[in-house]
Amino acid sequence: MNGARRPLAHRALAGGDLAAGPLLALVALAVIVYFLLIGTYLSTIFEDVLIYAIAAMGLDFLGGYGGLVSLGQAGFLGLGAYGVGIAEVHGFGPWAAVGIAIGVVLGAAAVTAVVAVRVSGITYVIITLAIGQIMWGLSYQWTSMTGGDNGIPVTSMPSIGSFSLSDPQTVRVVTLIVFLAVFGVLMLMVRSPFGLSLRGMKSNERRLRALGYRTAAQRYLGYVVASSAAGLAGILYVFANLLVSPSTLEFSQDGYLVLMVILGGLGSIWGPVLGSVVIVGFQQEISIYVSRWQTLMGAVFIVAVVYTPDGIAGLLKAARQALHRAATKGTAAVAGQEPAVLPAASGGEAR
Amino acid sequence: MTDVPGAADTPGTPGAGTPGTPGTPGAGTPAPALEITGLSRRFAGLFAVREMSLSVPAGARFGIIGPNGAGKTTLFNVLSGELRPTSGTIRMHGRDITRLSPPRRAALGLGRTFQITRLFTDLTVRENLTLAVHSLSRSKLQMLRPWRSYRKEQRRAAELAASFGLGNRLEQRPRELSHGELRELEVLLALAADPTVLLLDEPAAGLSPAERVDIQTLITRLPASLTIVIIEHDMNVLREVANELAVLHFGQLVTQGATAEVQRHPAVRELYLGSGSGTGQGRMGEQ
Repeated sequence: MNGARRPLAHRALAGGDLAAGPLLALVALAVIVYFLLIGTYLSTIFEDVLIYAIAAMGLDFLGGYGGLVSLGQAGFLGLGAYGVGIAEVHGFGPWAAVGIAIGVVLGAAAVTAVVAVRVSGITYVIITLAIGQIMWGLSYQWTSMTGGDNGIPVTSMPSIGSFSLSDPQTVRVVTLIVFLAVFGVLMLMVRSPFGLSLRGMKSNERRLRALGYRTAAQRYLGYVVASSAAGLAGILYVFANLLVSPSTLEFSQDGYLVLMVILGGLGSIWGPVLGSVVIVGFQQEISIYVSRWQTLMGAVFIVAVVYTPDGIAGLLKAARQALHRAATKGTAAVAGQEPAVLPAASGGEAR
Repeated sequence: MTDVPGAADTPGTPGAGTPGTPGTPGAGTPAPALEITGLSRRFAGLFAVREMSLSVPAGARFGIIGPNGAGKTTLFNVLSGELRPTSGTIRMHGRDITRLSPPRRAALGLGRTFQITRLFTDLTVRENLTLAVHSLSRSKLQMLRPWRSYRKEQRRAAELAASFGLGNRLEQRPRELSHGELRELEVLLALAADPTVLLLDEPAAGLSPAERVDIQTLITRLPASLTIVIIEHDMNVLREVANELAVLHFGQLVTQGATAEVQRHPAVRELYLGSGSGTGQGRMGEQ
């Protein structure tokens, strides 16, 4: 088949056209922007998709690349949200509240990282679960500070001139901007020497240490980056929902975030975004029509794990390779040559 | 050649008058590349390394041999910091490194390979080498610049690969390489950070005769300034790459000296050939 005549999606997946990949990404972005700004119920769904995707991408950054999967990510999402709420209750303006929330998230991440990075494997999972549960416990029982089960409503919204987060559409635009910024920064990070060292740590930490890497530094920084992403998601969450309560950071939220990452594809920054689409779609759309939506979601998850262990991202990658093989074979047949050797994957992020 | 008196005896107080303990180098005398004194490592009641003292001069090609279970790899693990010694001290170029972590020792110039190949199996050859090249520079914590944009480091990784026959394998993952290429990559990773002391743990293990020649060539081409300590069972390889040998048995140093002399040493022949061997052609003699 002549590459120039193939459909855009075909060319992008087959990797035969350098411009096709970014074009597909632009199309995906255009779809997101359309549904986000259309001003219907779907817009709120896409808003939630982006907010949870930010937290899930952070989770994947350390879990997918560094091999340290956290069960406490929702705790930092809640911390960002409570940081804004509590600061406003104590008389701070909305911008100051945002600054305080960021500071609280960074501070908590910096402190808890000291404990979390000392362990690995299942112990890391348990430690992060404990950290998340401590935060949930505080949100539930420290009623004088958090409002307990009732949570904290947020009434004062940040604004610059006429640009105010009181307008739901503005919140969605800001959410999109933050999402793109986090996505871009994480993509840069996974392609950096630091990102490469995270992958090395997941692959063979003992060898990495023998080469001179103090892997505790890698773990520490990775943990702070991942937790900060969740904190940012929490700040957006509270302005989108105008309320933060213990349910924001309860254990099921951690489970959903892990599901997003695994379903989307562990070790691919854009994979968890797709995972977020699926999970939020189940929670907010399919649940309208199917009363046992959680059972259905569980079944989908089982099928996905069994048949596509690398998630949706892995599925797309396999399709890309299959199309590339077909395209290479076709080109070789036309030229009357043996099929060329498949070029190796570019490594880096797209694994 | 230096026999080690009392090597088979029960060791005395750690570090107390151990034979062969090197003194502090005088002015103008270069410190040994590696100097271990009264080194022991015990697992529960078992000494894997016992009261060992060794001195490896800078630039030496130093072989370590011994039967399985002699403590060779444990010695390497203690030298590289993966295991803490039960007692004794380790100095590298005169500096006490006994309590330093593996990354700190690597930063001081200690490189090592492993008996069982330990590569970054999910990464390509280029990525493996890039990790190693960045290992001792501040750039390893750089988060916002793509690793592919570090031209100097990328050139170094490509040169390393090309110089030892892996130039056309840069985009492949370890599972796509032959066993011989894996062992070469193992050595290249250790070399990437320009170590001053290199510990090679059985680099020729499991290789075909042709691959052994390749790895042997790789080692003999290394700069003369690099101190190499090599554990190896293949005496053909050792004869080519080592000018001095130390023989271990049950965690103790049996003897140490020039390669040819050590091969003829009666205690060594007995270890390898058994007491009734006489001058027969056993494994050591054949090799």
